[in-house]
Amino acid sequence: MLENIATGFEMFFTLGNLLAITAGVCLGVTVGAIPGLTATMAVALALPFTFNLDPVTGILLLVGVYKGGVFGGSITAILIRAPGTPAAACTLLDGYPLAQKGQAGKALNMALYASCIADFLSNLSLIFFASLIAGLALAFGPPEYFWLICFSLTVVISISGSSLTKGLISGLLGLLTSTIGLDLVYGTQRFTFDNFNLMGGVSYIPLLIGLFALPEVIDFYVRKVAPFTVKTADKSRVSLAELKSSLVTIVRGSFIGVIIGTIPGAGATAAAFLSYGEARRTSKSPETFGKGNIEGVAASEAGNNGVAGATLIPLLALGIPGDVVTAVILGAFMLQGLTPGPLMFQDNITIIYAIFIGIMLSSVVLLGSGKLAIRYFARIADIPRHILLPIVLMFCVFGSYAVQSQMFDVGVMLAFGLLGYIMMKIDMAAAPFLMGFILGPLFEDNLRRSFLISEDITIFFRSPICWIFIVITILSAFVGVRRELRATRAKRDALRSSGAA
Amino acid sequence: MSETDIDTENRKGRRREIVFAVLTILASVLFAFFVIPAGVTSPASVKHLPLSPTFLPYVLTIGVGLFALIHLLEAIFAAHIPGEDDASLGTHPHWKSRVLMLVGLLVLYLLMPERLGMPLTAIVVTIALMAIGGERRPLILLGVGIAVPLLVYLFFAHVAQVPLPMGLFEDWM
Repeated sequence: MLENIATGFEMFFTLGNLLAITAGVCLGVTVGAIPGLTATMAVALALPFTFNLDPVTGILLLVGVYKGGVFGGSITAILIRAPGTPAAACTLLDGYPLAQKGQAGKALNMALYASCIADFLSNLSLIFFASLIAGLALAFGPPEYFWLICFSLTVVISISGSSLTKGLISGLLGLLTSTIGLDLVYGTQRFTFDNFNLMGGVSYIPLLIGLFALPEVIDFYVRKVAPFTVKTADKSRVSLAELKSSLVTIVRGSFIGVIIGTIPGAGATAAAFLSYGEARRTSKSPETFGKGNIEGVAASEAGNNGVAGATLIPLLALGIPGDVVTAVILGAFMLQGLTPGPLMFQDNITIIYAIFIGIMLSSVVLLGSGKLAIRYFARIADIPRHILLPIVLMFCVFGSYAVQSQMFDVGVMLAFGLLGYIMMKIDMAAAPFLMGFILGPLFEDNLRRSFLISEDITIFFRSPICWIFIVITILSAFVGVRRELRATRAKRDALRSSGAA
Repeated sequence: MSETDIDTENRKGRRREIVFAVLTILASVLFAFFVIPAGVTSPASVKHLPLSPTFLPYVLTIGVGLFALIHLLEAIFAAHIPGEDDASLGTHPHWKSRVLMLVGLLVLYLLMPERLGMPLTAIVVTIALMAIGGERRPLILLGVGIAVPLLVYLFFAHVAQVPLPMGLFEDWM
């Protein structure tokens, strides 16, 4: 084994590999920071460059792009409320309010530190527990997935904002929107009204951009004064005490990310929101979440980035891609004549070790390039709003168009922008809508697949994993609702007492 | 803020919540009785109710209606909690004309790229929006308004390989 590791080191430490990781992470951060361009797109763009590279260099380039892209998505989420990736929508809940308070630097730095720590822990999990966790992931069938999604949906309670009922309505509307398109079982149309563009459902990138970025643009032109004044030379940084106090949240979020990332298809968005919900649930001051709590940024970024290394677990250990990005990476492996899976650990173990070393190093590179990116991207916050927002709108339009190269998606973005603005005005949180929309297809698909396997309802209680998720779903929903009701009662009491005074 | 002002604000807030809840209930009824039957095609024979394409839309619509009903009861019987939106900023004195212009420019963004081309549309809209926002310096208006859309176009078209519509300039490119 030691001989293999030594050969892996030898194979890894070449200038080409180091450059590939650095270039990959930098490209990923830049592309991820542009609304509409996702980590998936960045990886797909980088794929042709790997054709002439040797296997380790090529794979590391793609892994670097992926990891950079995941972090990059949070930069614009914090600065201009335009998440570069769906998972970064959770980061903006507290990141953007911090930027509004003139603490963009602090939010960005915390996002970076949480990302790097989570990424590092995720990589360690990949290296040490790949086969063990992959075995666990294989035990997940449709009923187990169904309960996992149910558990993830309970987070909606935590991110409901000022009104629990409105938050739940928002989540249900998101789920309802996710049903638009062709039915997965029968292939019949649902709410498409013969519109060809809707057959594949509503694209999530235009929806995401519209829901979060456009309301800010509209609000700027409606309000008397710009909602956030420019704070020049933002020198806010994360103090050691703040990092220490967020460390538990980061580690917990990282492992949530690892577990979710291991399960194919579950996705970084669910991990980010679950981590955020958990941080809020265990916080001593849950009422500050959503208003600029630095721990909220740490939690969502930890959950989001914890997924990055872990999604490679089913890929490397079983040859199963967990999401679109890993599917592209699987393609890159195959182009190089390698087939990920148990046999690869026997036949190409030195390549595996070289990739592992590179993946570990990517966390360090991410820290360096992230610091550099923050230094330059943070200046976006210094641009006057009346100049910045037209540019943001332009990115929204270009980014939405880029998804499928059709103007219909620009229309979708504008429609959801209007919806987002209405939601903002009626004090209805948009995050539950996104959560419902992202998890909706998984929820319905696994519910119906379970019924296709067995018409007996007992299939939903078939395994210990089902029972574990049933119990934690009920507990999470109960605790969440009770906490929200208590918070509402406390607010009413405070109002009553201030009225009496 | 005086006590009367707070009372008026609370009354307004309560009314707003009631209107929201009633409209949501009406929308869910409309959805259940008209939109779902018209918009979802269900096969003649479905083995199990949850397998039907209409199952989830109906369940979700009922859920929306139920929560809206709870919200209505809460708005009527419980004390109103003011929202966290910073109302002190108020609206711009010319907000109606500004919004109208914004809507016009958004429509332009939607309809014109295929005729004028994406870069030219972006230039026109960006300059117009900056002017509406209060920018009066010609150098900034034209410099930023032309340079930034062109740079973004170059990135999307030539780096990200997105085939952006060029409209009038299709033959030139």
